[in-house]
Amino acid sequence: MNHKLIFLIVLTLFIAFISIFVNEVKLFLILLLICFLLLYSLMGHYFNRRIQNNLNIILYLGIGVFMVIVFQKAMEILNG
Amino acid sequence: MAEGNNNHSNYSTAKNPLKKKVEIVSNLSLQKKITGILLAIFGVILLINGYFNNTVYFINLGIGLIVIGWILLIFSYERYIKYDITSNVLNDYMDIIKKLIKELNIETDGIVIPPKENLKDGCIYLPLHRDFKINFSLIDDSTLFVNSDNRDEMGIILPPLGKGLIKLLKKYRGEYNVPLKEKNDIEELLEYLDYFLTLFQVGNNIEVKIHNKDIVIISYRIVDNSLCKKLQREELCNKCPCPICGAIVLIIAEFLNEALKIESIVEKNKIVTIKLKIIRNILK
Repeated sequence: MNHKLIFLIVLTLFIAFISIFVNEVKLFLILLLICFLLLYSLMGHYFNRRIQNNLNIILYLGIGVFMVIVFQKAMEILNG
Repeated sequence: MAEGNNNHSNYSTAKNPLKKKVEIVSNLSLQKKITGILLAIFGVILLINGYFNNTVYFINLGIGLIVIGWILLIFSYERYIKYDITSNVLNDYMDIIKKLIKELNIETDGIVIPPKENLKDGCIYLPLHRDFKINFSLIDDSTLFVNSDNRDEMGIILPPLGKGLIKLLKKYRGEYNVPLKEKNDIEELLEYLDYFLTLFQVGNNIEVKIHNKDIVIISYRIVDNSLCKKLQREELCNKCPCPICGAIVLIIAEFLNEALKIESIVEKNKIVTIKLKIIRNILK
């Protein structure tokens, strides 16, 4: 089967699953980033360079969001 | 004038299937774009709705839909030369090779020689006579005609048509710093060949079998067999395989580090079967 199709199906199923069972946006974003990272590392090299570059934008955005979440959590802990 | 019109209509009929194919591909790409944009818009609406109504599930779904829509849009913007266009361009080059082979009256099958010191990309050697010998001191990258006093050593050297694809494959794959031949694992070879076919979207379902350590049989499913039909009609497959079969054969020769004689290349119902015979002790 086409790798892009597998990538999309798995990601869609995972998003549908976690959006129902997770009731916190931050946790949802982290789980989404983990899923994306896993799928991208498994199938990313099957995509052409142009697609890889565009997917990297989503990846860096996700990492940026993750860093903001971690920073917020760290500030919460430090402020007691 | 009437004849001219007739020719023109014939030309149009011949080009129509290709045109239809291109139209279908373009429509699919447009459908992907529309679906991606709609998903992203729906995601934004859900996100805003969830934010104002404090519904976490809607926010989650909104973010998820935006990501899926974005990825779908990325997948729809791909641009690559479809193989049917490439095969039409290749036809002209194959005609030159056909003329050359016909002029020299070569009836032997091609010998695939893996990359060596003096042959950086490997080559396909077409001996003039059935009882041939390969004299490597006469062969290098710049040789076309192998002239020798010994008639058994005479032949022509053709650069393998798939070498460009292999270079591109190595560029994309990147992680294979160790040459494939040093790994000597058939599973590794299968995975490598499968990656090659998937990357260029030219085929799938590849299988490699080595019988009696002497005969290698490869079979795979090709996406577009229009070039295969032309090459088979003109009996060129065994002498100078197309870029896809050429690349596969060259990868296997590199993997085994042996010269391979192309026994047969047959395409039937889009299944290509390549039979190679290992010629041992020729490279030593």
